[in-house]
Amino acid sequence: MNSNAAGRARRRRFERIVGVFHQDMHRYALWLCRDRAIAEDVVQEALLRAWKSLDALREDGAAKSWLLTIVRRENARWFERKRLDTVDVDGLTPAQSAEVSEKFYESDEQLDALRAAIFELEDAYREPLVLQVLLGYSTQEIGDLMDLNQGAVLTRLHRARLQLKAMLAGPEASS
Amino acid sequence: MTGADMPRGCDECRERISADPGSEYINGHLEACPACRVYRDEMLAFDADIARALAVPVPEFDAAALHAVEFDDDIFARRRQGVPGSAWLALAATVLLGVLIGFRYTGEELTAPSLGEQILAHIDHESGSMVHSGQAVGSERLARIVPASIAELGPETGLVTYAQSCVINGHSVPHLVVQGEHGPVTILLMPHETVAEPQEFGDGVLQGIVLPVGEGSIAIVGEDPADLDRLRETMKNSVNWQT
Repeated sequence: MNSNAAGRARRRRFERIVGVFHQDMHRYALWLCRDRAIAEDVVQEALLRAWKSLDALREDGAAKSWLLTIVRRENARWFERKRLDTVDVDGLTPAQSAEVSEKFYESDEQLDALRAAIFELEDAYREPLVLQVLLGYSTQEIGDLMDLNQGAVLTRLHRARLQLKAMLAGPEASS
Repeated sequence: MTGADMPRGCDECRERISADPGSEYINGHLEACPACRVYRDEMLAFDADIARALAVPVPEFDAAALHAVEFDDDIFARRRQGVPGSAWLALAATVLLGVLIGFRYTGEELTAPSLGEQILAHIDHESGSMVHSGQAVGSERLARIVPASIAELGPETGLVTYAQSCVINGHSVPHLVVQGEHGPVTILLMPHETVAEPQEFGDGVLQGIVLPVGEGSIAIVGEDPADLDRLRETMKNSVNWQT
C-alpha cells in the first residue's frame, strides 16, 4: 500500500471510530463541564489528540474507552488552563442555570426537572452516573476510568441516585 | 413494610440496587423478596428517565472539517492561542486546497486521471460520507437527489445514509452511501458516463467497480467485496435511464 493509500486507510479508520462514538464523546463532555461551548471545545481538542495518536489504538474494540479517556483528560486540561490564565474563577464556573433553562430538546417538565437535578449533582456523583446510565459502563469500567475502587464507585452511584430522588421530591419531602 | 421491619438483607440489597439496578449480584435476594423487586423496578424506571434526560442532542460529526487540520500541525498550536473556530476552519480549508492543488500539479507529467481515480479522489474529498451510520436520508431529499428518471431505489438497496449531487468527470451525478453488511458503500449513478466493459479499481483499502448500464454506468465502491457483489445486481435493476 503506498503512502497515499495508507493515509486514506488511517483516515477511514478514524472516521469509522469517531462516527460511532462522537455522540458519546460530546454528551460525556457536556455532562462533565455542563457548558455547551466548553464541551464543543473539549471535544474538538479531544478529536485532534485522538487523530494524532490514532496509531496507539491497537484494537478498535477498545476505541470507546480510549476516546472517553481522552475527553476526560481534555476536560481536565481545559479547566486547568483556565485556572492558570485567570484569577476570576467564579466567572468560569459553568453556567448551570442558563444551560438548564435553555431546555435542551423536549418540553417535558419532569424531564427538565430531572436534568436540572443532574446538573446540580456534585461532579464526583454526576460523572459515574453518566458513565453508567448514558454510556453503558460497568462499575468496574467506571473504576478503571476514574481511578477508583469498585466499592467507591458503588457508593457514589448509590448516593447520586438518592440525591436525585431527594432533589426531585423537593424540600418538603425531606423535612 | 418500613425500613425497620424489612427482612435481613433488604438494606444491603437496596443499596446495591440504587448503585447498580441492573446488577445480577442481588438476583438471589430478589427471587425471595417481592418488595425489593418492586424497588428494583422503580429504580430501573428511574434510570430510563435519567438516560432520557442525559441524551441531549449534540452537533453532527464533521469529518471533513476535522481532517483539514492534518495538513498543518501549526493550526493546532494557533488554535490554542485563541484563533476563532471559523477562522481556523477557513485557514485549514485553504491549506487543504493548496495541498491538493500542489499534489495535482507538481507531478512530472500531467495525465488525465482515470474514471476510477476520479471516483476515489471524490470519495476522499467527501470523506465524511463514508462512515457507519444508522440514520437514513429523508425520502424527500433522496427523491430530489435521485429522480425517478434516473433510478428507483427499493428497500433491497439497503439503508441510504448519504445523498448528494456531485460532479464526476464534468457531470452532476447522484452520490449515495448505503450501509453494507461490512461497512459503508459508495454508489455513483452516472447516466452520462459510458464504459465499454466493467472497470475495476482500488487503492489497497477501497475496492470499486464501474459497471456499464445502458448508455451510462454505475460505480460501486467499498471495503468488502461481498457488499459490492450484493449491490451490483440490485443497482443495475434500479436504474431507469436504460429503459
